[in-house]
Amino acid sequence: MTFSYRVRSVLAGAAALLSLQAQAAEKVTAGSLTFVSSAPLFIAQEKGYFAAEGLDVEIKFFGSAQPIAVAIASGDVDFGLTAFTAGLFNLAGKGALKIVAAQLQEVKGFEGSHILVSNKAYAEGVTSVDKLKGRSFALSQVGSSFHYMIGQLGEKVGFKLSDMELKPLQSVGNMLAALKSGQVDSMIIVPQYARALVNAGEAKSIGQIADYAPYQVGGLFASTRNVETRRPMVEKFIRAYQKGIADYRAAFVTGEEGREQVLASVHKYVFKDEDAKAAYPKILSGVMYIEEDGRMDAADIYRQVDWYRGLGYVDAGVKAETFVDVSFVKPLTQPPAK
Amino acid sequence: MRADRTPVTYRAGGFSPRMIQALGAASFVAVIAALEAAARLGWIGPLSFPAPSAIGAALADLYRSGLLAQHLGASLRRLAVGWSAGVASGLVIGFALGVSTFARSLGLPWVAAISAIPKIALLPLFIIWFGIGEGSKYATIAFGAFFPTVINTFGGVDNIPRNLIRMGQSFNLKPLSIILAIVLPGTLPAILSAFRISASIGIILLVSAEMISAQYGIGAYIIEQQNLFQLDRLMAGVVLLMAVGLAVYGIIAVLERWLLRWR
Amino acid sequence: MPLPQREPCSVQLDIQSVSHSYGTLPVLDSVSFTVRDGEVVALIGPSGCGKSTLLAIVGGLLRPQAGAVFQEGEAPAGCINPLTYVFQDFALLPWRSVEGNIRLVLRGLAAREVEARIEEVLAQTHLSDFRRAYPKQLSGGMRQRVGIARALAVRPAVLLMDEPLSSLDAQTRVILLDEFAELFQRAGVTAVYVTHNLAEAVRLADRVVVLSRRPGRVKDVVPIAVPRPERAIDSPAMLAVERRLWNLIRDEAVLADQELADAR
Repeated sequence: MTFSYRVRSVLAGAAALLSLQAQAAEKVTAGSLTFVSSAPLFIAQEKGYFAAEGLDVEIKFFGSAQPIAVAIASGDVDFGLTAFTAGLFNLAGKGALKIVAAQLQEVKGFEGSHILVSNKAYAEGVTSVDKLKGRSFALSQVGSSFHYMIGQLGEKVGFKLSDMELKPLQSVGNMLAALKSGQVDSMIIVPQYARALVNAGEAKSIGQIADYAPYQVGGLFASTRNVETRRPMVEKFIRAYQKGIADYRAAFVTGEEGREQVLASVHKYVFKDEDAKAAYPKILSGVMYIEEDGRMDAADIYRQVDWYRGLGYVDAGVKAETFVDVSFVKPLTQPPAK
Repeated sequence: MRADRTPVTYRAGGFSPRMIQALGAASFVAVIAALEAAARLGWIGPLSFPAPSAIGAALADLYRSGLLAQHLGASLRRLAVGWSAGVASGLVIGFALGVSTFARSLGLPWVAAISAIPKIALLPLFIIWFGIGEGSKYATIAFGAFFPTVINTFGGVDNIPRNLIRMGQSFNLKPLSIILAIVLPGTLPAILSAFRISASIGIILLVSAEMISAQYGIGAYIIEQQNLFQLDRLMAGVVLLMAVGLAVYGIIAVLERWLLRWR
Repeated sequence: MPLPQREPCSVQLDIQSVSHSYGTLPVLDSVSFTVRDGEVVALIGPSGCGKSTLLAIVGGLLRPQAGAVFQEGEAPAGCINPLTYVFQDFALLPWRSVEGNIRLVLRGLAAREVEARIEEVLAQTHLSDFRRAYPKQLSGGMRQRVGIARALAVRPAVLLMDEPLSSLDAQTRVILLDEFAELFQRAGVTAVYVTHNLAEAVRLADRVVVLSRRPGRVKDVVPIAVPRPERAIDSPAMLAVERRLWNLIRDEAVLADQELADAR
């Protein structure tokens, strides 16, 4: 590890020298999922915000969040944009990566994830959040954001995690199928899927998570190596990312300014197999809140790490202060004072 | 004495492997010691491979928390039920393919086609058919154990010396007697090797089977640790699977020594 | 083809115009002969003349393409399998002990009868001390004794012996040949005995059916007139019969070889 680290640093140094000499754009790779949640990245790419910063960004796509984090740790990608999981915190805690800016956030007053119950469970009387106690709950994986959400929800309305029968089903597709068929009683899911299920009469929504437990859903990750040795490049990347967020917010969050153009940029990556007419409404239904300038709810990230650690899903040695880096973007909330 | 007189040298050595238990055990110790040393000296970082002592500590934690028994119990039960079901049905079909022209003509192409499917590909279907509870887990393991059993059993029946069956017929034994007294025991070596293969496959499939909606089980634990990126615990789960594999191998070896003592 | 002489009362087996071929290769051409009660008929001929094929047809283990085999007369008391095979390779179940192999073929008898018969045939074949041994623990000669014991246990009408000494070494063959001779004389066995060894045929048979080269036809039937007790090895009478048989076979064997060479 030490050895390859050294080799990579040397190579990175050599590459930097070469690019300086050639006055060419600095090559950077970013890992992402093909979800609307990565829209600021796509917008920055399409509108040339990265190029304007002198960065030549290649976006690599992944099937799920975990491999992105692993790819950052292994040095295969420089940045990653994805939701927080306990696994990610463990990886970050081992010193491989840092959280440098915010991605999605669940905030009161902006539509976010719905708490759904199956029609069967609803008929049995699970008509409000407090009645979830003792019911089964679908999640993708242990230590995923679904896990955190149900835990937070329970704390707010008065049930313990151990009261719930947790069903890890590996994928959102499995979760939806299990809820539809009544094999699980409940789940929490982003509006895009929640609305589809509710409109089709296949499940009932009994509330939104943000009304009970608003939280920082995801963030922008950078490898520790880059933060330490290529800080100017990281700053440039974040600046371009923030411009992407500004366009995203203008078009979707605060109004409809430039919406068509932003939709066109996002459509190049999301639902790109479908024509604009079919894709645009889907993109719009996938929109969730992103804070201005990518400012993090740092206090919440600390809370998440503590919560997972309490359950044993995050190693005892993992400390949020070692990887939540608020030096690039002024945070929305300050980390707890130590 | 003649000058061109040379002793004839022995040249027929080798090709008769024996099993030296101590050597096998020593290699385990050596690999573990080497990994531990490499980890302590910093040659292998914690992100690449956890130190054996960390794996041992994770196992100890698992034991202390009482979860070890729960994980092991859940997995062994799934393995026992799924494997028994797969092997039992595999034996019946394997014998049918072995003795009946009709069954062979009809069944063999299906067995050949379906056995090539990676079992995990059918997991979503199993979940729809058998639910997200124990049913789909049993089915996944049973399905994995079924095909090697069929193929081995049917091959074993095929390999029974034709002459022994003719002998049975020449003494006017009834077809059922021939199957029970000649075909079945004659297929036993192949059946035992089917046990061994299907048990390994069952253990492999444990991880797939417990992917969906399992709170306990070694496979579920491994997947959980994968997601949490806790490599020491992940490897603790893997070590448990290895131990189960070794134990099953040992049991079958004992069974073989006893059932095939006539060899 | 004239039908062979029949003596209805004493005939056990009547083989009538049996023909057979494997694919386009004819191996037996209209073979007929009879086996009388208490008689040992040896079947000899050059390699590949269809001796074993003929025996399989006689034993009902192969369907002849033409002709038929009839069994006549009354089976002996306690017979549960009139036509009983003794195999060249013994055909013992390796996972059953000596007595287990015999017990296998004694289905449908009372338990006491089964045990009594096992005792009896083991004693007859000098295997009483080995009843719990597995085949792999026995020598080739002992394995074939088990084969004989198993065949005798069913009290057969006719023993069908397919080169029973061929897979044994020369010394064991001599010893077992003596035992067979003694057994056949003592028990009055009816048997068809396939062999390529003329000495065996001369020693054991009452009549020798000589088959021609492929496709096998009955070339001659040679009675062995020497009384059994006098069939010691090297007696001039025995050597004369053996020479006569050899003359009959040699021509066929030489021709068979030539035909094989021509065919290549």
